[in-house]
Parts: sequence; C-alpha cells; structure tokens
Amino acid sequence: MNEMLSLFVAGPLSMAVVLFFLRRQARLQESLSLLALALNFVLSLALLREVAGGEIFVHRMGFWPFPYAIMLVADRLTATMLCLTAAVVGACAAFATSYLDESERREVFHPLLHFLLMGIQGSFATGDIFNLFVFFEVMLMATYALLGFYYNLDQLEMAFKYTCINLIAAAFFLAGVTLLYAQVGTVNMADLSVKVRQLGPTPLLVTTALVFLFVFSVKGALFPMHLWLPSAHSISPTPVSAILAGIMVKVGMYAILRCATLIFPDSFQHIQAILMTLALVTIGFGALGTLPQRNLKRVLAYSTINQLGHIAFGIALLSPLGWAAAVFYVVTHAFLKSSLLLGAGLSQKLTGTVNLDEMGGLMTKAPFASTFLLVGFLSLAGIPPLAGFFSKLFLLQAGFVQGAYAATGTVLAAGLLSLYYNFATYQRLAWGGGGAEAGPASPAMYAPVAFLAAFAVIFGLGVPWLYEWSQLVAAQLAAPDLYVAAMRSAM
Amino acid sequence: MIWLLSITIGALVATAAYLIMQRRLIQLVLGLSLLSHATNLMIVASGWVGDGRSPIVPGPGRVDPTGYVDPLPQAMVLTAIVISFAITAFLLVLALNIYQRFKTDDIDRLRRLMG
Repeated sequence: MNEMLSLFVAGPLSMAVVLFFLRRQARLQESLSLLALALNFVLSLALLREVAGGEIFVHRMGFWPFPYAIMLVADRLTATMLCLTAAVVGACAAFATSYLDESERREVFHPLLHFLLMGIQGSFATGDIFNLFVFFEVMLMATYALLGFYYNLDQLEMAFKYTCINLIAAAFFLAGVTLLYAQVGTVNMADLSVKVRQLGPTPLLVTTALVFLFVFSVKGALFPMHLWLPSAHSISPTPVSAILAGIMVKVGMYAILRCATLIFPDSFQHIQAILMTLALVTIGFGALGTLPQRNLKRVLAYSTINQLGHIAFGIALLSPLGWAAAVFYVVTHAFLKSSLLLGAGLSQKLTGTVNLDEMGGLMTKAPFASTFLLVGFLSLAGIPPLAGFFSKLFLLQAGFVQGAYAATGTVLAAGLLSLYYNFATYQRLAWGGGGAEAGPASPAMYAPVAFLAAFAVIFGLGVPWLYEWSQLVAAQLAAPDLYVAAMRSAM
Repeated sequence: MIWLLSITIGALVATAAYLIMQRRLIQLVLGLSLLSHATNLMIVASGWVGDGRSPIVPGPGRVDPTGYVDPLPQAMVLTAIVISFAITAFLLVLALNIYQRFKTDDIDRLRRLMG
C-alpha cells in the first residue's frame, strides 16, 4: 500500500493530461474521466480498509532519506478525507456531464477537474509543509479556471477577487513556512512535530502558528476571511460549487486540524481563545447571513460558513472528543452540502432560476428535486433521525463535557437560528407559487444527487459506526508520536 | 549582508501594501507581485548563515558545513518563484479582460457581486 499512495497524486495528474488531449472526442473523454474517478474511489476505499487497524502508510517520494524526502502519508484522517474527496468529486463529475451544455466549453471541464483532484488529494496526503503549499497552489490554479468557467462578467470579477485574496494568503503561507524553517530548520511534518515540541511555545512559534491559522482560515472561510465564499459559491457552475463547499473548504479545516494536533500542539493552547472566538463569530455570522438572501445558492453558501464555524469549534476544543466531533461533522457535511448544492443545480436546470421566490411551488413542479432538498434541509436543521442532528449533538456533548458552557451555549442558540433559516428557505422554494415553470431534466442528473443524498441518510442510520470511526481518527490525532514513528521508520 | 536583505524585504512589503490599497487594477497586480517577491526573499534569508558563503564543496573529503549557506531554502524559493510567476501572469490576463469588458480599471467600480 505504501507505493500506492503516489497514485492519489500521479493518477489524477496523468489523467488530466490524457483528457486534455482527448478534448475533441467528448464522449470518450467523459467516459474515461468517470472511469478514472470510479477507480479513484475504489482505491480510496481500499486505503480506508487498510488504515482501519491503525497502521500509517508512508511513501518517500524519490526514496530520499527521512527528513529530506517529500513524503506522502496516510493515517486514518487522511484516508477518510481521501474517501470523501473521491466520492464527492466523482458524483459532481457525473452530474456535470448532463449539467453542462454542449456550448459551455465542456471539453476543458474534465481536465481541470482532474488537476483540482490532484491538488486536493495531494494536500490531504502530503507530510511536508512546503509541499502542502505547492498542492494548495495546484488546487487553487485549477479552481481559478473552474470558478470562472463561463467567463461572463460576474465570473470574471469573482475570479479576479478570489485570485487576489488567495495570492495574499499564499504569501503569508510562505512567510509562515519561512518563519518555521528559520527556527527549526525542517519542513517535514514529523520532524517539525518533534523539534517544535522540543522548543516549546516560544513567542515566535506562537506567532508562526497564528500566521498559519490566518492562512488556513482564508481557505476554510472563517469569519473575517469568509468574504470570498458567498460569491464564489453562487456564481460558479453548480458542480464546481458543490466540490468547493463539500471538499475544498474542508482542506482549510484539515490543515488547521493538522497544525493543532501535529505541528503546533503547544502553541495552539495559547491561541485557543482566538480560534474559539473565530469559530463562534463564524457560526453566528453564517446563520444571520442566510436571512436576507433571495438566491438559493447564496443561502447554501452562508449555511456552509455557519457549518465551517461548527467544525472550527470542534477543533478549538483541543480535546480528542472535540476532534472526533469535528471529523464526524466534516464527513456528514461534505455529503450533505454537496448533495444540497447538486439538488439546487437540478432545480435550477428544471426551473431555469435559483431565485427562491420565482422557484416557489417546487413541490408540485419537481417532486423529486424537491424531496432531495427536503432531506438535505431537514438534516442541516438538525432533525433527529438524520446525520445533521448527530453531528451537532456530538459537538455540543464534547463542549459540555469539557466545561466550555458559554461557548457551547452560543452554538446551541445558533442552532435554533439554523432551524429557522432552513425551514424558512425550504418553505419559500417548495410552497407558494413562483413564476418559473419546470422543464425536463435527464435522469442521469438524478443519480449523483441521490448517491450523495443517500449518504446523509446512511450516516444518520449508521451513526454508532461513523462515530466510533471518528473517535478512532481522533485517538490517532491525539498521539502524534505514532505519526512521527511511522515517518521515521518508513521504508 | 543580512541587514541589507532585511531592509529590502521591509521596503518591498511596505510598497506592496501601499500598491494593494490603490484603486487601479494594474497597481493591485504589481503590489501582489511585489508581495510575493518579498516572501521569496524571506525564504532566501531564512537559510542565510554568517557571511553567506556559497554551499559548493571544493573537492572530495568531508567538509565542515558550518559557515555555508543552507541550500534547501534556495531550492524551495525556485518553486515559489515559478508559482508566483504563473499566478501573476494569470492575474494580468484577468485584469486585461476586466479592463476591456468592464471598460474601467477602477476596482471600486467592480461591484456586480456586492451584497
């Protein structure tokens, strides 16, 4: 399995090149792309099965010795994230084949998607912080092009702003890596973990941790750095916004989790209050932001911000229980939000609009699409048998067990607000009468939505199993020495 | 020598911050480009040792590595330069397109997505 890890990076990269040269044969290109994504999903499931026992797989690229080689590492967290990525990106690609019209430059969609996949999977698998920067940039490069896919005025403006914001974040990321390298002289995450702990939380190291927190909050859209997200979600083509909300914002959360558990565990004790404040403000702001929106995708975008705040809250508790709740939240939210966005895309295709008021009466116009959205909104609102309820429950439980009563109470209060906005949104789009008429949609569009929505139900029924898994992930995160030992002894 | 590097980095960041806060597109792009140059110089500075002897080993036999510049950041900075070059090029294309299609290079007028 060790050498197989490189497939998660090399596979999408070579597919992207092959697909680029196949852009004249649209049918062949599409089938090949979907086949590769299916294989990628199978591979990630196989990896998930292998890491379940607690083994950590390490591949030293180029077989250089320990601290110098760029390493790919798969522990339970990485394998979980890779699985999520493979499932969501695969479903979105399948959705895109019938969502994008012939005229919509679809021939470049699949190559770009595979570059994006390479960047995301590389970010999850890498064990080297400079390499993480490189994979971030690969991911962002593909995103710049995918977000501005139709190249109309809205998308042009959004792509420019998004690129500028991320370029500034990238500069700070590099500055953070430099600060870290100047202090401990390494960029390997295992080596960093050991050397940073030896040094203790010096003021400069705490500052470095803050720089990284800032950078990853830009990717993870925590409160003051979230401004790019609503526009990016609502303007980009729906399959892309589903990947963005389902997986890409989680890359930022994943990186914060790695910093808090592996690289800067001591320094994060000092900036816990900052992270907690960011998380709480994000939760409140995201929930309030949904209220004045008239565009379904913008409502979902603000709800994503709200959910990201919850995940950050779990990380900020800095306890295995909190991390388990955060991982559980990441998994359920990835499927939930991407299925909701695809459902929104389906409704958009059917009615030709994402305006909630014009959509009104979707229940009678498009019963299937409306049902998908209903399941999603119920789960987001936290209604008991669905996965969204349990993800909030475990988070609150972790908070109360730790005695963070004020913060957890705030989350609980924001939960009521999210109950309100989810019902209000669904009411506006499903009932009443809007002007838009429903047209036909190809059955191929229903399958990916149903695939992702099924997970929201499966995770609701299989909660004990998933929660046990999240606790296993958190247990591994709480013991960074295992990670270090696996990297040290890598063959 | 290291003080010269520090002053250059500081000046670059200050200029970049000033340019980023201007209203014209091209000034913004130039500011972002200067900001990435500043961080690139920072990476080089992080490997600086003593009077900055080049890490070239003269011949066979073991050499005492103290006093030589750390070569690893210089390898990293190459990657960073290539990435910032590519993104700057992309940003310039976007800026040109915005100028042609919006008929303005004033960032404050790009507000289709406000709200």
